[in-house]
Amino acid sequence: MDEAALIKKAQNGDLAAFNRLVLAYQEAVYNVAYRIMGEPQSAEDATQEAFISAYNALKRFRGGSFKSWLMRIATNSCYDELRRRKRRPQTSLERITDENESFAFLRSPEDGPEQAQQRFELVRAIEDCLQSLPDDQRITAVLGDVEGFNYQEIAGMTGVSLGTVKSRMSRARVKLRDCLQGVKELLPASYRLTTDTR
Amino acid sequence: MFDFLRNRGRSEQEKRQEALNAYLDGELAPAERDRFEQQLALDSDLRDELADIQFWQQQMRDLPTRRMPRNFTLDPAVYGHPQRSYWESAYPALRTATALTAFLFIIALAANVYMTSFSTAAPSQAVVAPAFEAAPMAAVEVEESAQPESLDDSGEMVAEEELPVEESVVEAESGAAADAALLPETMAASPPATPFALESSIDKESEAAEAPIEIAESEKTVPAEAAAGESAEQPMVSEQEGPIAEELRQELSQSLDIVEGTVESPPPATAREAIPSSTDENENAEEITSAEAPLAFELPEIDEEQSAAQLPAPVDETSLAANIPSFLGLDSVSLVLGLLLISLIVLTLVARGRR
Repeated sequence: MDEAALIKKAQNGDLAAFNRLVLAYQEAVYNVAYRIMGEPQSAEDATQEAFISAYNALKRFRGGSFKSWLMRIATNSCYDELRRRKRRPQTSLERITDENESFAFLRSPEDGPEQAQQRFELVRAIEDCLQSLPDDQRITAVLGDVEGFNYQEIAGMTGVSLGTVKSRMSRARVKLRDCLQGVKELLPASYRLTTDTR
Repeated sequence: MFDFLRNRGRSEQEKRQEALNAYLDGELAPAERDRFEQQLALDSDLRDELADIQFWQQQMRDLPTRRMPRNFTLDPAVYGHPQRSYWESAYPALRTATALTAFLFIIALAANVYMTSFSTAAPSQAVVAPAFEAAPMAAVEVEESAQPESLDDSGEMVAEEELPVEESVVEAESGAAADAALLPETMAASPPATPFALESSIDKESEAAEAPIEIAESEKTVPAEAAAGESAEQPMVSEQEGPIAEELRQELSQSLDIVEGTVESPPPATAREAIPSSTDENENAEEITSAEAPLAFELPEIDEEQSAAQLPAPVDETSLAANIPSFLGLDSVSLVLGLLLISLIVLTLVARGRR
């Protein structure tokens, strides 16, 4: 069954059809939430809230990109979670626990142990630098550079103008570049060459 | 001073960064892109900067996908029966009710317009007729007063001796002739209502308005009767009565005949006090004495404004619309349906927006 038919059925109250849509998009939504929130528990809460909100608001979906519509709800959910987090600051213990458990996915069959470690360090550095950005710039960078949305879509998801998106994206990349400059220098030349040629 | 320059430089730097990122993301306009590419070809630093941004952008895109801790599908036990909002449930019923009310409103409006147009013709005819009658009557009075010699003895006496009376009569009639003339007509149209209206509101001023009318009406018949020499209906009068009172009595008795023919119910009590009972003319004529008659038939001063104000407005029973309170030309049913329709339209639009 195609996506439009599933959406139609879900709008008529078919929960099974909506859950099929959840299965199709939950990974993307969770990763966006994770990049924005920076830790798994908040990302999980934000993701669940996003799908519940999407189910309740499904009748207001009038067509177009369902993924963009879903991401807008996920972004708003992340904003809510960020505001909640500011009211009750969290420790970094959860992140450390997550690191011990889930970095197995970073391993590639071709990678040796050294390359796997480098990859781990790079990902860690990028995620740390992303968390150092202001919320608005981080969300723009995640939607644009991580998820690949264009400026117009980002403007719709975040509810700001195109010029604001351009400004936020420019500032986020400059800060990320400055933050990651030291990491880049630590990367072996072979790694940099490999990534440059992709 | 250098801070000022640095700030100026930062602003330019920011502009340059924005252009660089927009070029990288394909967001520059064709003309701007061409201009930037020319600048890029000439500026090696710009090229290095662009390469850096591209590198990290690629790293961001290559970030590995995080494993989900669990599925985020919704629990059917909790979300299996979607609860429709109140507006969602009410929308179909509101839509149907709005359509039905609109239909009824149109029907009521059409009926109102039909009834109003049907009833406006009848009252206008009834109002016009007495007015036309009053005008010739006034004209007849003027002619008679101007040519008293054309009448016979009784007529002359009537004309000459009634001149002072006629003046006051004409004055009264000029102000209240139309309204007063309507009284016999309205009494003919709605006999049950007229006595009650006259009984409570009409006082001596209205009676005075009636008397001139009766006198005016009787004047029309007096010349003819005088010419015919009829005197059978003349009441017995005392030799001590003045000629004016005698003539008034004659005319009053004749006018009472006319009134009796048009009014089904007896005249009000206040009218009876001044006007002898019309049930038995002969008895009234006998009862009238020289001492009482002048007082009974004494014409009080007529206040035209009061008489006109106190006379009840003519009611046309044939016009049902006149009896129904109207607002903006709508009867009560149409008004209620219109207000209901507006409310239902508003509620339907709200339900449609919130469902």
